[in-house]
Amino acid sequence: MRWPGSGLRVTEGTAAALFFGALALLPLALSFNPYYLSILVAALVLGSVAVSWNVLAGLCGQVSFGHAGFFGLGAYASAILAMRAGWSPWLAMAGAGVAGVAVSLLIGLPSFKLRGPYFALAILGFAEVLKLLALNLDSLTGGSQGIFGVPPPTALRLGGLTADFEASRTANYYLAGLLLLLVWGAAVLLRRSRAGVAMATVHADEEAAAGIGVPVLRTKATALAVSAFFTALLGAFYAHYVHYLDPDSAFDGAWSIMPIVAALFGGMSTLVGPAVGALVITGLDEFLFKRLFESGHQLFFGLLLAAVIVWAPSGLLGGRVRRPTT
Amino acid sequence: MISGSSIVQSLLSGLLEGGNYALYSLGLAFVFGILRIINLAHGEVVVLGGYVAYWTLVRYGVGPVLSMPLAAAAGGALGWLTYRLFLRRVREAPELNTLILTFGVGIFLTNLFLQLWTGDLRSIEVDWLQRPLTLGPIRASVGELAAFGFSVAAVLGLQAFLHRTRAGKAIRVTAIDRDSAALAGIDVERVDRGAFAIGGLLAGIAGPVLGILANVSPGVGGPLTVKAFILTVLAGVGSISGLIAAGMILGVGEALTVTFFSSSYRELFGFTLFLGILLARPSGLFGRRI
Amino acid sequence: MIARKTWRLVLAAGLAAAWTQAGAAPAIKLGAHAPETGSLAKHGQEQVKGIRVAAEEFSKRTGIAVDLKVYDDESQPQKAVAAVEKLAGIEKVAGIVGGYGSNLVGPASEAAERYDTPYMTTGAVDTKLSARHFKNFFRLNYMPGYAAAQANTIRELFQAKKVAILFNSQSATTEIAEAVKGQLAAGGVQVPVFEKFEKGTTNYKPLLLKARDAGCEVLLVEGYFPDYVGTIKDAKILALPVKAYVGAWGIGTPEFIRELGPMSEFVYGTSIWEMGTAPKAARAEEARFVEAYRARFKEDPSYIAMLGYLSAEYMLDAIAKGGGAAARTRDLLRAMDAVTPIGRVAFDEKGDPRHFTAVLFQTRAGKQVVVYPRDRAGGEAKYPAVPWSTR
Repeated sequence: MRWPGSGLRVTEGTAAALFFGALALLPLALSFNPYYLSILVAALVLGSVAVSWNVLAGLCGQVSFGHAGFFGLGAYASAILAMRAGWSPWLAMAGAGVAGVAVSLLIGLPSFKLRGPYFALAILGFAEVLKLLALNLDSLTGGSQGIFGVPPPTALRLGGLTADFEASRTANYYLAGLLLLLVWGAAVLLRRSRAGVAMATVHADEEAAAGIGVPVLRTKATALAVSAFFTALLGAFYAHYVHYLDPDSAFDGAWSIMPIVAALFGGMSTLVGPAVGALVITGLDEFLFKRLFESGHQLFFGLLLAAVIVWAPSGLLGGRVRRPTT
Repeated sequence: MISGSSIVQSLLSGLLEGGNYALYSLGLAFVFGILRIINLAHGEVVVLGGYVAYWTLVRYGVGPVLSMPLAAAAGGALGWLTYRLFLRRVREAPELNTLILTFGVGIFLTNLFLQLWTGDLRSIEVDWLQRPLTLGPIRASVGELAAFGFSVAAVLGLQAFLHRTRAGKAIRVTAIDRDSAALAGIDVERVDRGAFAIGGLLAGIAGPVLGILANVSPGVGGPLTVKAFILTVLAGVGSISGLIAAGMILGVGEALTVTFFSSSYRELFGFTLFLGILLARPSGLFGRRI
Repeated sequence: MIARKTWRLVLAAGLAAAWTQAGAAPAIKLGAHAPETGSLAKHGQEQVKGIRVAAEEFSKRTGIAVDLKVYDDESQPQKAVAAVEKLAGIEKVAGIVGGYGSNLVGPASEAAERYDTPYMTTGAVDTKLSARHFKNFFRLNYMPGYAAAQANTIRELFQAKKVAILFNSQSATTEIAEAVKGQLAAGGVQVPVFEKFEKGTTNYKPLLLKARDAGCEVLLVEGYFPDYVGTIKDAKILALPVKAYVGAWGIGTPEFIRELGPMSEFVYGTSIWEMGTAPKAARAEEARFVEAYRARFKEDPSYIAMLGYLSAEYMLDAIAKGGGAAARTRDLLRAMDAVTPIGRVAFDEKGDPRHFTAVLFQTRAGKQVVVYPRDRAGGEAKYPAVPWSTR
């Protein structure tokens, strides 16, 4: 798809630099309006999960329908580590990422022999099982009563500046932005690494990859582990941001489907595309459709999705941004 | 503790529920098997069929048996329209695109229902369908038995259509080898459109049954789609008749899990069965090519 | 010179007059957030309808304009936080009403506390919400009021020996199921069947059969509307031999009676309010609301709409009387003590309703007959109820 006036083509690096630059300056332009920032925090969380999901799908060609499982797992793991084991929320968030890796390997190893939608559905099945465990392991998770009062990340002091994550939307915005930068940076490094090349080979043709000696299983496991690590990390951030967890909201199916929507919307062929997609869809829904139609705004959202898939099938950035040749 | 008659009654309720599961899944299984399109708006089309039957009953006093063709037509028309407007333009794109496309259509429909008819729950109440029938201590309603019979008839009817009619054969040939079908003079574009419309029609006829045995409201479409998915994989993609058996295995398993253990494990049973079959036998219980 | 001075004086007087006129009736900014879309859309939309009626009635009654800001939180916790950021942070509303479900009200009320904006909810009954001791948090209903009405009726009125409790796995229904079980056990009533089921269950027969085999006289379903529809339809098919069917909330609503028809007869339910259950002293107010609601929306109000209406009315009254400062609004709400369509309303230090008891009613000929508490009762309970086959 060539956009009107799309003679302009940029490299992915330029697009990412522009994007993150804009993110850094956005709060200034919005004069630190906490409402806009709280919407943007939601968009950044979604964007980071979408980039993580795309590490598995875009780099390695393995589509998952069950990232809500890793998201909810991370949220619960971090809340439990912080509240039961008394870890600092920062450490607990890292611990949640590790838990995500461990569970992703347990789930992934039996599932990797499945192809296409079957693999995707297997992850969905495991995500549902994780949700049911959160609901039924009352003594650990509080069951359906959920967990109240998940502590915010401890405040950081840098010189005279204090980042208070309990009250300040600005602090949370920049933390979410940094997490997105971290996820994106890790994905870029991964793509350049040996493992990344192996992933591209598996993506292109699994049989051929095995034929030339690429360790297919290990490559897929690496992609899933990285993807699950960051998805769980973002789930942990979410828990410390809303301070409240229950199985329905932490394992909400939206955490599986919305990252896919964002990734397709922004373009799966680039690493920054899914994040752009997340910001655009959240922004349009909140700031445009909701103004037009208070309780029916999602009608527009549904149509918009269909329209973009039909008329810009490779996403917003798909036709415009060149991938560097590796 | 648990009486013998309760075990039999529980078993029967599972079998009957399994028939419903099959009916709710038929449209999705058919479209997935033939077109390889994962239709995430499937559940919403079922709900539309339910609303059609509900409103014809409430506004015009026409019972669900008579409004069934109308529900089917609404589902079929919606399927046709979805294909005509959107899907035909992304036929060549990766599977994920059709997935998100139909997801968007599903969101649109859910919110359209919400705007048109509020979030109120609707239940189709017809006296003769609620009448209980008894066999010794075992009981079932006329509606339940009729729904089961209807489900089996729908599956057999679809099978007969695919194997006995020219159109059905064209659909099967196209599903197996698109290029050869085109070479043989089949208009594959038309076949696709027709097949998607039939998928909508099959979803539409399930709506009145949903309204009679359970209830219809804007939000129930999503869970229906997930259930249909699970059943499609359990049966094996492409196995239409396997849906009934897979539905019954799921329904009976769930019912007996509640009877012998606890209802806390009912969902866990379903997903464990699903994962077990998927990992051990990805082609499903009855999987074979159409 | 003099002329000019006079002119200035006239101008100043005119300005002052305009100023005091504006000062006499400044519009009150009231914020409301509710899940108008997403999984809780049904409840959120009814709540907002009730709040709109309250704003309109308030303006008519007092002549003070109400600038109502409604925000759809989409049934998502993150959007519930954004709702308060927008209403309290940007719109600077004088108070916030609405909110449904603990996972939305939890984060939203926390943000309201941060903004020091009074927050009154009607859709979250979890006891942990008020345990946080927020000074801006108020609610009209909470869980113990429902549990006590059910347990007391079963013990005192029905004098049942064995009760089956089936409950939806969601937060509020799990909590009430456990509370009722505890209160029944303390009163020597056995609960041989205590089963949790998932949202979206369609086959309830295996659960009901357990209640039958255990010989339970009362079936208590702590759930939501779809659960009542499913269990009642299945109980009728099985001709379940229980003497009473009792539901937690959302039962006996106009929608329930419309959809289930004769099957809704003789079913018991607890509620904070259904049409016709107001105490005598508040019958007139109840009638006024029902009339205004019908005129506006061409349908009968549910208890959720009534709660939305009342919460907005109390908040608006407190704001108007106190001038809008958060501390004054809070104090006035804390000092309030009135008999209203939902009974006597007064708040304790945590913001919980001091006197809240749910009423337990039985549906008879499409109307709610209150049978408990006795002082609000409108008739005797039909117990045991007639068999399912004759409904």
